[in-house]
Amino acid sequence: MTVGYFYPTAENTGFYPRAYFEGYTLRGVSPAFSVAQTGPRHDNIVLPQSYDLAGRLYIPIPHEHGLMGVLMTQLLNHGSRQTDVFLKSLKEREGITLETNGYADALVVSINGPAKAAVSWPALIEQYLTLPLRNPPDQFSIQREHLLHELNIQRDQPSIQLNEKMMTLYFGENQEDSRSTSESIEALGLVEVNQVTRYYQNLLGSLSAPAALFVHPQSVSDIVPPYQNQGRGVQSKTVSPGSRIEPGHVGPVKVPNQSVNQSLLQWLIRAPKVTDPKYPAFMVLMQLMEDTGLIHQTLRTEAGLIYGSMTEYINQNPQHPVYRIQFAVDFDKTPEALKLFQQLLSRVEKGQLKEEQVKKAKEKLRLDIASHWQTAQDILDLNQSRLAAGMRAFSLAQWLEIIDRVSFSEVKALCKDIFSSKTGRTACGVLAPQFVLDRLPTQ
Amino acid sequence: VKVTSHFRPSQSRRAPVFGLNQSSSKPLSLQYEVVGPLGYPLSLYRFPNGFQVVLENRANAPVSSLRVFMNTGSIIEDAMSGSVSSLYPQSGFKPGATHLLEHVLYTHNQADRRLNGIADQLDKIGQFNAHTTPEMVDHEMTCEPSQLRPALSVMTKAVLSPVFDGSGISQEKRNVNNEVAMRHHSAESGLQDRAFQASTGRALFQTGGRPEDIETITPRDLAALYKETYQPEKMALVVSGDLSRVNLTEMLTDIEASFGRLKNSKNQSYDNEVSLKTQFIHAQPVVQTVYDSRLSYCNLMLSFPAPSYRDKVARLAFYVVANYLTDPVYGILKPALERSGNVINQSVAFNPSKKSGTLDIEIHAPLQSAPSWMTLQVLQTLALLKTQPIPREVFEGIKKTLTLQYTVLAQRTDKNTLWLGEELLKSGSLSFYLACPELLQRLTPEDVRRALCHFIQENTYTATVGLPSVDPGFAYKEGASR
Repeated sequence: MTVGYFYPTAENTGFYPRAYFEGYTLRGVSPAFSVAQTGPRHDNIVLPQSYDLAGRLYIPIPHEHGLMGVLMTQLLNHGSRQTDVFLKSLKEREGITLETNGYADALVVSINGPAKAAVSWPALIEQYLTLPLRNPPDQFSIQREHLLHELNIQRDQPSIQLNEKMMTLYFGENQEDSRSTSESIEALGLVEVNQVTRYYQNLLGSLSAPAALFVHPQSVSDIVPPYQNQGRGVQSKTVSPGSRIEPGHVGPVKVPNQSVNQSLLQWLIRAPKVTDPKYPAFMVLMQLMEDTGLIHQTLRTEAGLIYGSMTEYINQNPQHPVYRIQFAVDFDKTPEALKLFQQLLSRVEKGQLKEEQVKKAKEKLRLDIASHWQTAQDILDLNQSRLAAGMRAFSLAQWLEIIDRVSFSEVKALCKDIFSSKTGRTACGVLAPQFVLDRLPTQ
Repeated sequence: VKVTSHFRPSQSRRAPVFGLNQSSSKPLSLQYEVVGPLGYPLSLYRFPNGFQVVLENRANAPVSSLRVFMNTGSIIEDAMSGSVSSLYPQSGFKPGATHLLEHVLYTHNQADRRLNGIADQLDKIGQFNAHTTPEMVDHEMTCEPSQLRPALSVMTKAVLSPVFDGSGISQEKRNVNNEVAMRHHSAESGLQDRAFQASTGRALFQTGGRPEDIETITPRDLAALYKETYQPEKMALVVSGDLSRVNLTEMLTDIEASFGRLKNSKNQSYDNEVSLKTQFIHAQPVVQTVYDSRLSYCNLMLSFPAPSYRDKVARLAFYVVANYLTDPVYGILKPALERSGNVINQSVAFNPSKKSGTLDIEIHAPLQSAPSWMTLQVLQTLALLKTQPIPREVFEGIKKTLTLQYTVLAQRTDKNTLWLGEELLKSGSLSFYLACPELLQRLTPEDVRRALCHFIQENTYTATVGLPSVDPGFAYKEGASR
């Protein structure tokens, strides 16, 4: 059993530091975005064998305000003496845990506890969200110092270094999506507690549109989350223009690093939004590529070059999601792995897939989703991106039905679209010592 | 994020289940049938050769899981060169062989000679994986409920009909080396290795296997290791899922015809009771400093003696302690460390093994922080817990949290098969699993205080300090160092 406290990392939570506050110059101009633009929505999913009851409330924030979200998280979890007393009392009396996590595009309030206390949850969440945030400035400084140290550690990690270079390559310099950890550190150093509390009050005032999902046993009736309808909301001044790279394949961008024991290879690929009708086919495609799929088959089983791969759907900017594929390979095998993977992408783009492979990927995906249907937390994880995108949660039957409906031709068409040198946008990068990079082809 | 990976309780009552009972004419013996803590019927069978089977029936579960366990892991291997410890006897098994063997079982076997044929078959049925740890190896499979019997059939063949020849082994040597290289990317993994070695006398990297050791392993080595370790008396099968979707009698007949007919080897190169040990020295801290230029902060890893799997009450007490130290609401370690204003984060992990255990505390702090000061804060916090019981209300809250964590963990069939198997083989019975809620309910602050007094002794710990470079200003100034 490991017990820890909030520990944001780019790899694990999708957290990607972003800053927004008065005095900091945001780049670009775009139509205003308001968190109050959609109506309230909530869902309840019944899990008959559930022993716990879990819920999440999503309070959307413009994705470039992610760093503000992290600071608000600190205040909501340790904001004042009243916060401490309230959370402690909840835990002692009811066994309920209530906490907030800051994501790139939302504050996510999570509640977890025994099912019998469910009826009181909406009121508890409302009380929690409206507790006074009177965090003393010195306490806030300590919390900010912690975040700065976290970011400083992240900055030095090879994988973060590669991620930042790739996001810069993909979205261009001086964009919200490519802001570096160093820039976030600089921005964070200037934030005052009053700016955070003011931002929070405005955000809270716009709570006409939190998305909420509660998972509970059948004995509990539907739970309706609290809403607030006062305040002016928060406005975004920027919207990312999306990928700055031209259609086609870019790279490999070479990132020198002397400290790694293997090369890190990464690809960023334009991906459909969660709301896109092609998204179910994309889920099948991800399954087709990962686990024991095509990457495993080509680079591990056949070539013996890698152990495993990491794939990730990054939708910190919901308007411009990207698909990230990364794996590590020995220095002397780097050119071979790069070539083999490019060949794999080319084959997939040309539709050189077997119907049997897609069928197997669908079966694996069905199994994966069914596995998630055993605990409340897993169900919440599965539906999180849908709720954050303003859609309703799916039941297990709905998930399985939508996967079943994905056809072989849809997957092939999607491959042709996103991997194509004409319509797709794919960037490649390699992080390795200089002598390895020197042996790679130039861009 | 997906990474392909190989490494990695209410009063029970009797209830009739499955229609099989002790009067069965089959040689397997039903040890007991109970309703488990989550309300699912649970049965334990034992064959005359010692092989054990746990079946848990979960009506309407969307997936079924099975795991085959082997009750010895890398701990039976000779220590890898440079890390010889007097704690563990030499067995003649080469370092890394257990992990390589785990991989090789999935290449091909007597029933399917195609290279990777077994993996192909399993892949068509569901999701499979295997894990090697110092004390245990497990082979797991999750599938749709109707696929449970075919899944068990292929997994049985993988585990019981291996073929040790050149092609499969050389392929898996590459995979093992790639895996180990991938897992050792960070400075933290090197520190964890050193910290584990300080407290157990065994390198953490031993389990994965280093390329130079893996290279020397021959098919004959693997065959010898397999013959002596995959013994029925040391193995168990755990199944959890909707068993109404399979013909249980036929499935048990399959198990009897395979695992039930295995014979135990009479000669063994190693002690049956071999397990991880700890090497703490009473009242003498063991402190080491590791320099790694990749670190940009101070990483302090402290290990203290802790209960084993078999110390049931003390084990629960240490779960409470781990929670009390860093709980986001109650946590008492964080405020103590934050008095310096600079600690970045801390984590507490209680790691019980078969016959020993460690309480591991890891602290990340800026470079200007003093590891000795942080160690002192931890020691004072633990000393405080030994003298002042946890306040009753807080204690009850932690128990509620742990109860919830327990039920959520057990709700997933794949996680639950792991827990059941580890409990059965590491602690020797399912009694802790079955009685966990009741034991937790009965646990008192005084039990926790007593457990702490028993295990946590003054200045008995190991400390591993990770720093980026040799600088006298960062040196560890407290306690004896060796």
